Amino acid sequence: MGRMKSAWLFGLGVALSPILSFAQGLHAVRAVPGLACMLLDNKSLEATQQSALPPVFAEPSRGATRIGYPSSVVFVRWPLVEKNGFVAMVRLNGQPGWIAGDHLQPWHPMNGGNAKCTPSLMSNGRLGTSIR
Amino acid sequence: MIIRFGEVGCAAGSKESSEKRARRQALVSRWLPLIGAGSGGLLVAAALAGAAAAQTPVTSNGPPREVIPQVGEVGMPNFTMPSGTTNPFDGSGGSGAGSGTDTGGGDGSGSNASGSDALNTMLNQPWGIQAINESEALGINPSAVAATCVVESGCQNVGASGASSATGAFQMMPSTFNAMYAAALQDDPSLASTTTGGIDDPASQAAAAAEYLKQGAQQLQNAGISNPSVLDVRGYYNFGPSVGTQIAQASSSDLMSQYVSSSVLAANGISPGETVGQWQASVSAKIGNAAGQAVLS
Repeated sequence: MGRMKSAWLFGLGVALSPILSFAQGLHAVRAVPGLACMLLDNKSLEATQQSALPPVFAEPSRGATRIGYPSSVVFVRWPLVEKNGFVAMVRLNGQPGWIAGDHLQPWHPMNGGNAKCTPSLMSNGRLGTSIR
Repeated sequence: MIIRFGEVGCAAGSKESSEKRARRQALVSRWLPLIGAGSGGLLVAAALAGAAAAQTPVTSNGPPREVIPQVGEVGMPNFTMPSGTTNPFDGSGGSGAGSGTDTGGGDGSGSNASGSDALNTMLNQPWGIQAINESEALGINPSAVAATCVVESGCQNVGASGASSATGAFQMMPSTFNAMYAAALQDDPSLASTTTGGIDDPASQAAAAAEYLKQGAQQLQNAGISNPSVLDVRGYYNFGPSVGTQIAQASSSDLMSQYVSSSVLAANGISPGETVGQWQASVSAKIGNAAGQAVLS
């Protein structure tokens, strides 16, 4: 009887596992070494338009190709790599780039807590954030 | 549309096929008990081989009855159309060559646009049809635009509330509206003749909102999300380009308050203890079946 009950529970678990993993949502699989979280400056965080964000450049120069715009958390190379006032970073799509250092501030949670931000490989295979 | 199974390759009614079918039925009925009784595979194989070699004509009372199951095609839900309007997704209305949607009956180009509960709500507004046309002209799934007005105002042309300067059906701030309407006008110059360009005009706001969603979807694509959904882009619309993009790639167990300032949380009725996953669930509940649809059409 006990074995039958266990089999039932096992079967139920197998059947529900895809549903449960979906309900779990996006989650960090592992930390990505060599990166650290920084935060855009307050003005950029409040921007309502893309054009108000500091661009990400392909090279550490204002004349270099613009490859996109940052998200609020900027994954910088760690230890920090600085050149011409630009900081080496990696975008959410994994593309390396450079952002003006004066648009960055040390990362801190917006609620003032003492959690830590970890650049992570997410369950969807892309870069993302995990704050603990 | 009804999909019928069993029609392809079936020459029902011909004498030859009726006889073949009757023979096959006789064979099956002769050997089925053996199979059903649990005989070994060898026995079954030998029996069938023998039967095939010694077929004899049989008579039967006509061909067996053919069962044709019918399955309703999964499609968009029924719309309740305001009287006097033409559903642009119907494909059978007066719009001529079809709307180009997946569900249209015409010879359209096949966009990603599809129906949703949110779209139904927007269609009930006097400017709903115009908003749909503008969305499609800008390459945006109309359901994404509809979902935005549903969440922001219930698609009502309301004024600003509280300390925020955001106003209208899409609750846009004047600076954002002006910039996005100008961008939309650049993408689709015909807007100049169909909208007033004023923030209090819902059709103008719909165009500006569609442009904003487009920029959001493109920003998320640029961040590695290949086909952003309405839910993905919702954070961009709600919290701006930098925070919105980050939330789309945040752990669902992270707190919203770790990404969004307390003043913005309060303005949006989000409690400090709400997680990213909980916020996404509540947005999905408001948006309904448009949440998972692609923004770009």
